[in-house]
Amino acid sequence: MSRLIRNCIYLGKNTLRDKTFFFWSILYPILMAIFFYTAFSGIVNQEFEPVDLGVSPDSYFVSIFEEIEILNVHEITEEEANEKLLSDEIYGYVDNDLNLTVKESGLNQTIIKQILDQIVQVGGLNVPVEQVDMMVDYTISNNQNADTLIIIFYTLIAMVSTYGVFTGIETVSLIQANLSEIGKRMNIAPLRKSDFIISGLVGGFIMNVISNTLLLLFMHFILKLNLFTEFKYSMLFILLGNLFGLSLGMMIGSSNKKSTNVKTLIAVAVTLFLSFLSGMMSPDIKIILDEKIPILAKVNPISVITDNLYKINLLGITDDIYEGLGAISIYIIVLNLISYGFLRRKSYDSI
Amino acid sequence: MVVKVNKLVKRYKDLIALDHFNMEVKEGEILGLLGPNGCGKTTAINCILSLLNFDKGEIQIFDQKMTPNSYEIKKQIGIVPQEVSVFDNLTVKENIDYFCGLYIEDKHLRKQYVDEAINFVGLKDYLKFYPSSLSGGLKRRLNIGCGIAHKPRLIFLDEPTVAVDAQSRNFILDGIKRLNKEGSTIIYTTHYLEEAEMICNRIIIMDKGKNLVSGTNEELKSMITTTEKIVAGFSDIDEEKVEQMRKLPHVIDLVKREEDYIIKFENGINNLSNLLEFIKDNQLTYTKLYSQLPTLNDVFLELTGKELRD
Amino acid sequence: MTVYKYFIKIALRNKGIILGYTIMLLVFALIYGGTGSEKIVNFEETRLNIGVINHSNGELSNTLVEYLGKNNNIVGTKEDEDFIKNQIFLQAANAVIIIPEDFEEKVINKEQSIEIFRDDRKVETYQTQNQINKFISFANATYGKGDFDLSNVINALDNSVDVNFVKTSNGANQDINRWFKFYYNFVSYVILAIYIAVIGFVMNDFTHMEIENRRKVSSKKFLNYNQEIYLGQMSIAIFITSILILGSVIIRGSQLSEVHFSKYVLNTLVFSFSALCLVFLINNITNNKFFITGMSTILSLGTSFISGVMVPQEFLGERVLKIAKFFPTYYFVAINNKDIVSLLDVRYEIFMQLLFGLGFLLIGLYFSKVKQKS
Repeated sequence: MSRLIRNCIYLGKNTLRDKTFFFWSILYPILMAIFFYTAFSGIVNQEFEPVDLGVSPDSYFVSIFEEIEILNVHEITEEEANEKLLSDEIYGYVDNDLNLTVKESGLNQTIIKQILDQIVQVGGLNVPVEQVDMMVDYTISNNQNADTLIIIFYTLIAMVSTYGVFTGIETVSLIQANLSEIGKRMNIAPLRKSDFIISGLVGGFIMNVISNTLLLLFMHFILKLNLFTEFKYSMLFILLGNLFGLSLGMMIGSSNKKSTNVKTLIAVAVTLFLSFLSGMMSPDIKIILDEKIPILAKVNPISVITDNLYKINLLGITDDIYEGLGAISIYIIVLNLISYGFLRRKSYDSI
Repeated sequence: MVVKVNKLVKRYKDLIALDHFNMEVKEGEILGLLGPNGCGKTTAINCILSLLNFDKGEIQIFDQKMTPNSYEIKKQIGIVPQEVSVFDNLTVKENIDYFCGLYIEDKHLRKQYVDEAINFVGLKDYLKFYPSSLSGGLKRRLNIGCGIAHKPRLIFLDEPTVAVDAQSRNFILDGIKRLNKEGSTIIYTTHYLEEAEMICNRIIIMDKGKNLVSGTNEELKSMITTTEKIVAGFSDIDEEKVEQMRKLPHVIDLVKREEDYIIKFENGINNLSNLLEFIKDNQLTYTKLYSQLPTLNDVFLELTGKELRD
Repeated sequence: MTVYKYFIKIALRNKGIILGYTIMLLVFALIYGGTGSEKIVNFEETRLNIGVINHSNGELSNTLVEYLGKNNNIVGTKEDEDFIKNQIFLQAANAVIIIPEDFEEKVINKEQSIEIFRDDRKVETYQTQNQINKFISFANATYGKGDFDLSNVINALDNSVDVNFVKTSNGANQDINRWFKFYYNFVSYVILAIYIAVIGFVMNDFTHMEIENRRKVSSKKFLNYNQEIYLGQMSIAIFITSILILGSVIIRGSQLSEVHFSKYVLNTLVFSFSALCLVFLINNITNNKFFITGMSTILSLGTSFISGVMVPQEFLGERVLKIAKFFPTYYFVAINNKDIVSLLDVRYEIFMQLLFGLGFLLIGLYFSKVKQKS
């Protein structure tokens, strides 16, 4: 036991002093969080600005539009309007017959269209306009959490939870005589391979959990994001993500003889790509994929973690987490079986 | 017997790396494993240490069969691999302590051993240095320190002086002798003849995965017919004179290498004076003339027809 | 030309990086291209999947459901909060509404009555809320003598205005244009990431050789050596940029005439120039492989996020955009997003990118001078 701990400490020290670890596991996630925050906080905290609308000067409706708060009315001629539409100075132009001209579709254009529709619809109702009270909201919204872009941060957390992948690669390389020079020493020493791997993995696990915690603390205290309502279950998924990362790393590490640098790049590429598919860079990608290839979200481990974090914390659904836990557990078991196959050999055909 | 290797065969696909290789190492000796690059020295060591599996043959260490799980045997072995193999992000002291700790569990004993190893390889002033900030020679010393700190009974050193400056090389060679004096049996591979001649009690010469010969330095040299080699340079000599020289008594071979002639004799008496006489009689002017006793290179050359080093 | 040849050879050894980023770009371009276009063409409200639980079963509620069904698809659901949330999460439904038993009474009293679950991730689901409120408000306006005039409401709601799309003078099709904007904006990310990593790695390999060569060759030859290196960098840059431009031609080749394609090409070439200058600067600051990997990742992702590649510029905060203006990517994205009549319309942004390129070049030269002195 004391041997295991000693091994753990030294391997931990070796990793901790490695600037690659510092960059990928600590600095990079925090930088990503900052990028997301700067980019998306604009959307989250966006104050609604009035929509610029061009209206024909002799239109009967000018006074009506001017009363609508969210519109910023410009009285211009049709020729001027075309130019201003193209340069995005106005989003729509209304002629005397309430026909709308736009450059493209978009949120602001939709708002204008709905206002115009409503004007003609109220007109078509044949009741005095005063009777139409549009100010009442008849719906009770059941969405407690409106901060939707938080899902991006869940993806980031999911991705980073798998960053034990680097320690997995490193640990395997250190014990395999055909992968590293140190591996030769280890194989000649009176040391059980399994003991070494276990201590390497435990060390890697602890360090990655610490780096995850740093990221979470950063998000919570510096970016002031409220990510977790269900702490217990969330941690369960994050820890499972860690185990998945370590297992994936061992598999990548043991299955081929490429250099550690190349393996690290493979690991970064794989996790980044899976995260892209889980909607990290643009949530639209995930929504599109969920619509077209729904199975993807169930087999992409980073999606599984992201989705469950979202469900657990934003929707408060916890009774079907077992499907997700099961999926990742299967991955972990399969990956480890594969690695076991590669690691089992005691002596090599060639070094 | 410390190590006994019997008819070891190792193939890499079509290539036969070891072809019925035999080796015996006695307690207390420094055995030199000598041969050109790619002759199978490192492969042999890796097989002996159970790092590589092999096709045929037997390997015993300390009279027991060596397997990947022979932890009791492994405890008594130290290895200094060809490449510097240490942790980049552990300091000199941490590295030695780490590797020593794989063998020695007792904390106090380990501390003592680590300090001794550090003194032994002369890295006392570099305890807190990381390997990347050490010079090539110092890295090699660290590599050795990591392999020998646990005071193994049997030490493998695989070309520990490759690409090392003269100062560190002498330091390392002296160290190996000291380790031997302290009781370790040493297996030393190299393709530097001078080193093997300097420190080894016994030498095995390998070529193409086979043992060529083995014996002490002197035994090996006595095996070959050449006993004296005279190197001569002339300012004026023609073909005819060279042919006459070739016919002098006891000359077995005469070759021209660059500007010099190398004349080999089969016995060592009066050869130089015979040659001098010939020079005087023919009124030749020599620019250099000296006699050489056979080296291991000559042994290798005679056995294989090729130079050990190119 | 041995140096040049060797340079190209080492650079192409990093094909993993080039391929990886290029494939990522193409995959996203295809995902993006495969969707969205239909809904934009017609400028119609999106048909959503709406789950309805109707406890009222009065005329008002039934007509409301009928009205919703005209513009949306009604899907089955279950009155269980977890079930509904899951259904929405899985996008089986985009919104679910629950109509209470005392619906009519509440409507007449102008009280909140319909419980609604929306998919927060989809902005379009606001329209469901609007449709409901509009329907009820209209119905309430017709309420008199204990009755709603619902057929009148339905008729009125059928009205809508016509939408025309402005004709751009260059005939650019906005929907196709949208795809090209997305593609080329993403290209800036890929160019920065590949350039910095690939050229940086080769330069790292070369520094050792360079030191050798400095000793061996005369100063005249050293100049030649550097020329071949820069020629190599340029060739690699042109090669990568060509692949990326070619990607758009392969995917949307038939539609090139419908967008201002020369704008995108010119813009990409100018951006490539400034990116190459940035690489020159970075290589003069460091040739540490680790630092180069970091720069490649952080600079490319960072500038993309703040300059409107990942998130449109109009959504970014003013302060973020102010920072973004210190990077050429901002101007590159601005050109892609701009609808132009002639290339002269983007001269300012082109000029800015060139200016940045020159700036990087000058600072790089300064650093190389400093290095030579020490």
